[in-house]
Amino acid sequence: MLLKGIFLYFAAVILLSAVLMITRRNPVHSVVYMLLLFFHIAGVFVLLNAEFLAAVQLIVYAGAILILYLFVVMLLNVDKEKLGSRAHRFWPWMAGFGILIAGEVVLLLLRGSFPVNPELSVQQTGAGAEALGIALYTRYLIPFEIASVILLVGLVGAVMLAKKTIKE
Amino acid sequence: MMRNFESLAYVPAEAFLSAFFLLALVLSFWKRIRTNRSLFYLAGFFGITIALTLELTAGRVKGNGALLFYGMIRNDHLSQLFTVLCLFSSLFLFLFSFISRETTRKFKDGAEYVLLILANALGMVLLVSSANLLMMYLSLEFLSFTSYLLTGFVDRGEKTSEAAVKYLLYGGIASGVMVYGLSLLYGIAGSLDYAALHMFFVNNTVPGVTLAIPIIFILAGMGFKIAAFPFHAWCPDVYEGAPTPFTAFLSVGPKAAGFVLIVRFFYQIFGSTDGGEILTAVGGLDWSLLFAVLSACTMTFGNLAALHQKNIKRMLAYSSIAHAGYILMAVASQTPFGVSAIFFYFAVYFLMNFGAFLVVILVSNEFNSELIEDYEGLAWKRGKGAFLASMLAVYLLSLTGIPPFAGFIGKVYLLLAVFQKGSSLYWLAVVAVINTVISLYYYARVLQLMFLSKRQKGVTLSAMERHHVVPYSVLAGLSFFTVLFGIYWVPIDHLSRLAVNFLK
Repeated sequence: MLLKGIFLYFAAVILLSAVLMITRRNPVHSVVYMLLLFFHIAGVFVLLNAEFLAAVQLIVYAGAILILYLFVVMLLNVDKEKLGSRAHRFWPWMAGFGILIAGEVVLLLLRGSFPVNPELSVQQTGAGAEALGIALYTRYLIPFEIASVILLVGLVGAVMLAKKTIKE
Repeated sequence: MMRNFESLAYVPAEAFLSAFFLLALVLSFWKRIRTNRSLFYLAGFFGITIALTLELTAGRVKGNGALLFYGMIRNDHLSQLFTVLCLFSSLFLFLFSFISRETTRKFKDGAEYVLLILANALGMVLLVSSANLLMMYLSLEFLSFTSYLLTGFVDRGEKTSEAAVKYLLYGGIASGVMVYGLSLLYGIAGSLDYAALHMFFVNNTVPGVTLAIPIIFILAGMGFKIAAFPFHAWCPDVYEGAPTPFTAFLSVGPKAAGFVLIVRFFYQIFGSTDGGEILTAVGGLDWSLLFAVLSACTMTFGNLAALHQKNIKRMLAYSSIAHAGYILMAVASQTPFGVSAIFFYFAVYFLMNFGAFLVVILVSNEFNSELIEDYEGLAWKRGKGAFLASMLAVYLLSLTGIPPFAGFIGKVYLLLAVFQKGSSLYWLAVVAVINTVISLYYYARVLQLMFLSKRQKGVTLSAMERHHVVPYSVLAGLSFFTVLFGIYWVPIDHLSRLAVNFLK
């Protein structure tokens, strides 16, 4: 009962901050609501016994990606006067697409068959960092290494793009 | 299923490529090395050659292959054949980069260019052998990232920026949609492994809607990679804005890898063969019809859009969309023979497409133009004109699918696959034949301009010089094989028959 209450609190805040995030005019406010959103998603992960995911959620999303967004907002130097309403002319399309996705999720939940019980699978494999580490360095070693090479390529690409602008 | 270290022995080309990429990256830190462009190009060229040699001399696969790295990678005939094809296309990319003026004069040091091509090759060879959704998605992203960067590498003004940004945005959205589909599929079946997914869909029935949604989402990512109809919009702009050697490469190597991805995904998960000539669809999804419709739309759209193009690179881009449509016919056929037909078609498409783009590169080296109207009277220009024009004629006629060129035999193979499926797909064969007729119009228009108009317009051609020997002999060699395989195609036929073994 208590767990359910906590979950409902997290879910409500997630929904609320998501709506606020996309409706605020000031981009910095949007980013702050996004921070709230990320924190509460991490809370849901804790409820699911996935502490490691919760930590990653905080470190990567709330820590790194959010700061990146803030930097972009800062560098773009958005003029408040020019911002205008956030609801621009495409909003019916976007709302339609959103309703489509939401409808699909509802449809899948009602009609679909999901034999996997998420709570169970987390407990079976062990949710902790240890189990994750063992999986990453045995079964998933190759994807893990490939991901690191992809990051390296990204780095090379960034250097290349930056150098080109300096030269000209 | 093999463990990590035991598996290493079976992937010599991949292992060498990753090591060589890292080595080249470290070497590029020294200024003296990185400013020497030819040295770096040569290093890349030899790197790919060694990887190719390693792959060709690697132990033959027995039976239907082996699962490596805990089932992440599958080493079978299909992956070996396409690894060789993809590495050859990387090799040609280096060769063309030597030849084209865009990639030799316009930038000072080519270190990053070479590094990105090596990484791109690694992405391709991993993609053709992945047997796990996670591995498949990662290598697809790997291939895409390097492709975005290479598209924008040579700065040719606004067009390049537009191409690179468009490619990046389209690719980002396509892969986002795809990974959403993959996560739904994982939610349904509870596994990422192709074999386990196959077993799940054999033993369980999933309601149609539940399965259709993830499949359509995943198709968005795959369709993007091969530039199939609703997901093709990036293709003409990217082909026009990218450096021409890379454009030539993009329409062969990554596209072939994308097709292997489709074949593996649908044949291994949603198909089951009992030694018969036609696969039975598993999971209650009629993907034969799905691909038949996709194929018909793709080829019709590609050919119709190519009709009034003014830039030859854009025309070849739309023609490559149409060719993706033809090749999708073999996927729709749902037969093991279809896989052979796909390899066969790519082997000949490799020759004719690289050949056609080499002519485009050589002509743009001379005229600094890619407009079709500048090809007017090319055959009558003094010096190299007649040679260039007749070579382009061979490739374009082969792309149309006219005997005695190899393109014709390739199309026959694709149609044979369709006929094997039976009367339900005859309409698709009719659509393909009509499309071939349409495509003749725009290919023949270029030929008509080159041969039938004697108006000497624009720049004259430069005289033959010593460093022209390599490109012109490559051109002649490609056309020799285009004609040879149109008359005697047994060698490729033997190879393509091997590709089927992964289903056994």
